[in-house]
Amino acid sequence: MTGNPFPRTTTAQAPAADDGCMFIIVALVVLGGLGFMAVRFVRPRHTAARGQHLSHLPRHLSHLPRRELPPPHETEPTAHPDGHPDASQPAPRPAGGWAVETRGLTKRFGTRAAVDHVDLLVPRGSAFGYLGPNGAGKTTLIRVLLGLTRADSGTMSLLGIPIPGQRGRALARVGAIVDEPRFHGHLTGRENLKILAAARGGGAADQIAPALDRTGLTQRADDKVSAYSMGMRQRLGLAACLLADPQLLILDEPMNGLDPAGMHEMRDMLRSLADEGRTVVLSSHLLDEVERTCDAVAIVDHGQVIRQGPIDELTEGTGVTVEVQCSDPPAAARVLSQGTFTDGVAVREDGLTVTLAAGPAREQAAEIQRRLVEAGISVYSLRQTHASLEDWFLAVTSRFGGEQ
Amino acid sequence: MTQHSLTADRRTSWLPPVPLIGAKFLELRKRRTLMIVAVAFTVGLPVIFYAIRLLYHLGNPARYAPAGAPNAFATAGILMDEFGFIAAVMLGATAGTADLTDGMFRHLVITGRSRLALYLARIPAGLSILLSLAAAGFTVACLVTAFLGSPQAAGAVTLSPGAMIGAGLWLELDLLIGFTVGLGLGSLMGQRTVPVILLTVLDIIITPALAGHALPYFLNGERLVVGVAMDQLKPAALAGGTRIGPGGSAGLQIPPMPTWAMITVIAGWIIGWSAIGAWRMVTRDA
Repeated sequence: MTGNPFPRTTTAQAPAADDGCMFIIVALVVLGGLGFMAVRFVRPRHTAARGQHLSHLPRHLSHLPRRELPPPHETEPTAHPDGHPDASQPAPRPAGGWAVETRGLTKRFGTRAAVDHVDLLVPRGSAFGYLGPNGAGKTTLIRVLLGLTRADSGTMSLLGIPIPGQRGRALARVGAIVDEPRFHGHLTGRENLKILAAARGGGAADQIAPALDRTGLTQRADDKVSAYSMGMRQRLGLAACLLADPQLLILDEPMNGLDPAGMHEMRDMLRSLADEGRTVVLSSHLLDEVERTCDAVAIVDHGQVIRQGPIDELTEGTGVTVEVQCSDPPAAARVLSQGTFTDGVAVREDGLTVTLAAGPAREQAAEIQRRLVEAGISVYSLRQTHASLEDWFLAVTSRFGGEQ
Repeated sequence: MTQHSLTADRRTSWLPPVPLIGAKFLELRKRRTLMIVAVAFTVGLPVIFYAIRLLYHLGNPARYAPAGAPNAFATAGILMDEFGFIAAVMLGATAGTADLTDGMFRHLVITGRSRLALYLARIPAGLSILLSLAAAGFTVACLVTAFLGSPQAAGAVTLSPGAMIGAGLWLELDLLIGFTVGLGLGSLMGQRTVPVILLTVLDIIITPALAGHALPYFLNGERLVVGVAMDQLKPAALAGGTRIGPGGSAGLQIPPMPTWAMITVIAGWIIGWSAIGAWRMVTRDA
């Protein structure tokens, strides 16, 4: 074949071919888009199940063994007689300083004060509970502390470093979970931690493996987060906190969505972190969990801290009782009523409930036993019970009708 | 100064470190649907286009010119421009909103890293994906033009390598604009869908309509639209290609603006939307 093989081809004809191509391509894109939409909306969404909370779990797991609380921290803040920390007479500064210190911190949403002149002092090295009913302003305070939102007034510092002035420096050794921990669902747990480690910088990337190991996620670290249960995401959130090798952990409702075993593990983990000398601030409405985990608490209601201090001190005024099982309860009641070490004796079918007066409870329990034995009454058992944090919480928060 | 205070000082810098850019790159690259769309719009469509042109040509060589003809190059370029712009907007809007919608924004802010650095890290991360994909798609167009462009009709215009490179740079600039505007608008609005719809409408309806019709007393207003400025900057190699939307292949029908004005409009859109997105990122409650 010689000459031009396409004698009739002109550039003027080409746009017609391009129009045809363009039509086909646009049609392909539209059909592809429609197909994608159909697949996406017909396919069951895994994420729907992801956000479910185990809200049916009991709030109080009183059958679990009670942890023996350590003695109150020597340098913990002293509570004002009415429960409010007195700003004009600040609590003595502990040797290590305050892990969290706020003065007159206020955050308003419109006319409503979510955080209302909060003076909060968290001693270093303690496990500190920040307790309050839902909507009391717990999460808002944490968000303000972490610089997630701005305060309207007041001053604050983390680990002795003022914020927001030196926020970057303050947060260098702070790990936090705020609200439900959420991550990129299309990435694995390890990849999410890589992103956070890259943002933290320093040696955070080296902490990924130890953090996963400590939180028990190593086996599932390479699974996508979208396949994680709520409890696993809580643990991943804690692993993210550990990337900072934190001196201060601020955890907002870390027990949410955990089953009893998960709560037990989390509690042990938090205690171990506190035992390492880290400060753990635990925001929660789960009174029992706070009581089991924390040394000291602050109670917040309607945006205000209404009490704060060591749990033992706060619940001290609510009394200690001793339940006595004996051979002759009425006679035992008569014997014990003659003493000055009791505030009251109530006879039950199988024994007595003795409310102790102020004083060393162990000695008083021994005195009860001695007197009953001297009176010829057989004592089968003596069981000392403290007023729970819940009893005290219900008494001081307005939510349950108590007096503020 | 301790190791930790050194680290903290670096974290307050507005310059994103390379690992942070790499982390954002990872986050975007792992979005399967987004990547499929981006690859399809930047590489897949030109490949399909040229495949169809090749089939046309093979089926009836007397009627249809070779796939590598210059007008096919122009149409492929316009195709990559229009769909690539949409892909760029999607990628930008996703980069601007993913941390927020996935709940990672709080975690990132709590690290103490400068929010500005977090924002700026998204730009090189997203562009490295987008521009490399566009370059791959454009390379296909260049290869087809170079190797499957003959025989041409007598007197047909041929494309020089310089003309093709110029077209490629223009295309990359257009996608860069789409990405930064999508990023800024996404960051401002905090959600992805609306920015993508708005900018798609801007790209395939408003811009061609404005470029194709001179509106009395609103000429300077039309010129403020970045697509109009980009149309004026469009290289000759892409002129005459079939495009989607009102105006067809008519191209720019309004009097050209001075070069400095054109550059100002383009730079203004890039810098302006980046600044708006960064401002929102810095001031947003997490």
